[in-house]
Amino acid sequence: MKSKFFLFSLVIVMCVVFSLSVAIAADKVELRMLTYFTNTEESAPYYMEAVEQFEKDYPNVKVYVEGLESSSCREKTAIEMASGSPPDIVQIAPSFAHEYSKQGLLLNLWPFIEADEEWVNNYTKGVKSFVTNGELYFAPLGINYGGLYYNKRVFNKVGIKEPPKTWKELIEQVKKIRTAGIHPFLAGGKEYRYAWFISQLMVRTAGMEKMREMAIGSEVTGWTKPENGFIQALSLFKELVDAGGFPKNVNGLSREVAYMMFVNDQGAMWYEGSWLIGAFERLAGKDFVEENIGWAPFPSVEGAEGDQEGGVGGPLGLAISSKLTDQQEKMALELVKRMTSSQTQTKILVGTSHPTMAKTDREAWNKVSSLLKQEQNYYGSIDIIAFPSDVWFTPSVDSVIKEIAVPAIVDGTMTVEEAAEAVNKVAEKYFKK
Amino acid sequence: MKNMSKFSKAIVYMVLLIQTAIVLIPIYWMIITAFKTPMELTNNRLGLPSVWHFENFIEAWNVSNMGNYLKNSIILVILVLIICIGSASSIAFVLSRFRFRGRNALYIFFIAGLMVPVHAVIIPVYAMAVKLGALNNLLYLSLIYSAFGLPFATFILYSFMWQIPHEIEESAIIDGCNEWKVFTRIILPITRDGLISASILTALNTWNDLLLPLILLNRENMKTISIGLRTFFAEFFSDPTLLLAAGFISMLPVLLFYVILQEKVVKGMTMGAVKG
Repeated sequence: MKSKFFLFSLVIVMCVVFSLSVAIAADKVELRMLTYFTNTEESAPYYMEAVEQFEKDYPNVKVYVEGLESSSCREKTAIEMASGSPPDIVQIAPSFAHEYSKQGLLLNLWPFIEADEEWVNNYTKGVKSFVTNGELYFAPLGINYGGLYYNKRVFNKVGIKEPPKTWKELIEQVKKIRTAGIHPFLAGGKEYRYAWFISQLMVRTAGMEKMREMAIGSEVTGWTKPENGFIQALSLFKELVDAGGFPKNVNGLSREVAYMMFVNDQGAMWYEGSWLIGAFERLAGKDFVEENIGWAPFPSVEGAEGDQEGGVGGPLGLAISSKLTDQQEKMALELVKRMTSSQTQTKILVGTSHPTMAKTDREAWNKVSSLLKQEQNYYGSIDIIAFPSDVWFTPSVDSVIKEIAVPAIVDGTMTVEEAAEAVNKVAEKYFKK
Repeated sequence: MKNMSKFSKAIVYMVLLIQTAIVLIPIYWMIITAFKTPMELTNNRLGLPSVWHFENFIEAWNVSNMGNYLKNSIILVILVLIICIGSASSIAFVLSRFRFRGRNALYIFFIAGLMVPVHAVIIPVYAMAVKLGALNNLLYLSLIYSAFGLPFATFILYSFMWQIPHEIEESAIIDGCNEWKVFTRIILPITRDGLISASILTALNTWNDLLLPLILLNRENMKTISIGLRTFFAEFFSDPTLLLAAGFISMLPVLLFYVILQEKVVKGMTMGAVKG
């Protein structure tokens, strides 16, 4: 009798404990975030600070942050999306967000941002340029702008007074620098870092609107049409290569080695995004960069039909899975809001020289590199800011541009027409699905 | 070599020297770069460091979770060896020592797994892990590795076991051994070299692999060394000196493992190749 009573009591106690643990577990919210914030990523500590504060404010929420460098992050995201189990929050480029949103995997964030006065006012007006038909599938974190960075010491040595304002001037300067035994341009060819250069050329030869049509509009398979400007962009790039614009081994040159070569006066110019400022500062120090590196907008191209004043700007952002529970979704939105807030983004701007889409005050701007200020002044004054190909074009098209077409132009294994045809074939195959 | 002319010997040694250089130069470069600063690397790529920065190794250890990554990788390799080599040896024993209908078809069935690339099945593997709640689980990951490693390990061990004369087995049976004792006390000791070869190759593949741990391990405390090294790549700038310092640290356990057992690998592979 006693043993039966004991057993019965034990069962009751176990039921109560189990119910309590389920109740407690039900209150617990877990979020998994997949980002580029690796241990060595400059901006990681600022984002992690925001996450830690969020967890303190919401003790029932646990955020697991996984930081991987971008190519591994993209690969993992693709596999998880394909399996139908996306990460709860993921750092993503707009082109990938667009692709995944078509499969219903991502939450449309614009209604939430627009409805939240604090959140929408947190951003500069430029955020609306990312919204299409009331849809925005990523909350912009930061934005990088394209610019022509030049080494003043090399320019002085070669006798060049200022950076080129036209394409003709650029080619002349390239030849002069090459004659002096210095590489006119450097690039991380090993990592296929040509996307921004080609995109900027397309702004000049095609214009932003045509680029939009080729990215997501009616000209997605119009890469070989002369009027769309891509062939002309490739021709200009070939002209630069033929003039000795890049090192002969540039396709095998890693960007880290190229950075080192640039600050060691082995290269004169570099066209890519704002992150270069932080990269050069990490290598050579802020004072060196302030004194010896200059910034200029990309030169205009005489006779080209595109936008001669336009530039290139590429955001990255955070997307939220559409498969979350109500509680998870609420917490995920709050966390993303905090990570994209002016407070967090200002710290990143000052600490890492990474520009942001969030509003930041004048005091913060006084602390940043003069190169960044020049860049912001320029991009604040122009209307035309196109996305680079690795942010805008369909990933498969972007891959063939930067991994096949442009490297083939560099090493001479394809003509301009063949390279354009290769891109168009991939586009046709993709868009026929 | 004894009967070769001096000229022929010279050619052979020259080829061997060139091959040795091809193998050793990247390792030499890795080691000397790990002691430099990024700025020094530009001006002095192949030379010895002007100042030996031992702190790079300490920083590489501290910046990432190297100790944890190494621990997880070692645990994973041990699990894989137990499961994969244990299974492969049993399968190879049955296929090589027993005669039954469908034996050849079964052998082909197992070996055919060699033709299945992991990329072809990574999505269903991940989906299955999610459904089973087996993400961040080293045991589950070891089962996946064992499944992929089984064909190759079976192939090697089958080649060894197939050569053992049946008379040895028959003598053991006459002396009163059952199949289990024949397997554990006769066959396995004789195929020790093959077991070591298969173990080393399986261990190396598991240690070096990136894709499966990348997909199946999300939590920082569960990651392996191959993912750990990727954390040294940042979005806009990666410090190659720290990366190579970390790479050198991660190489040490494998190097030690191979140095101790290398003779067995060569012996095992060549024995299998010549007679199999």
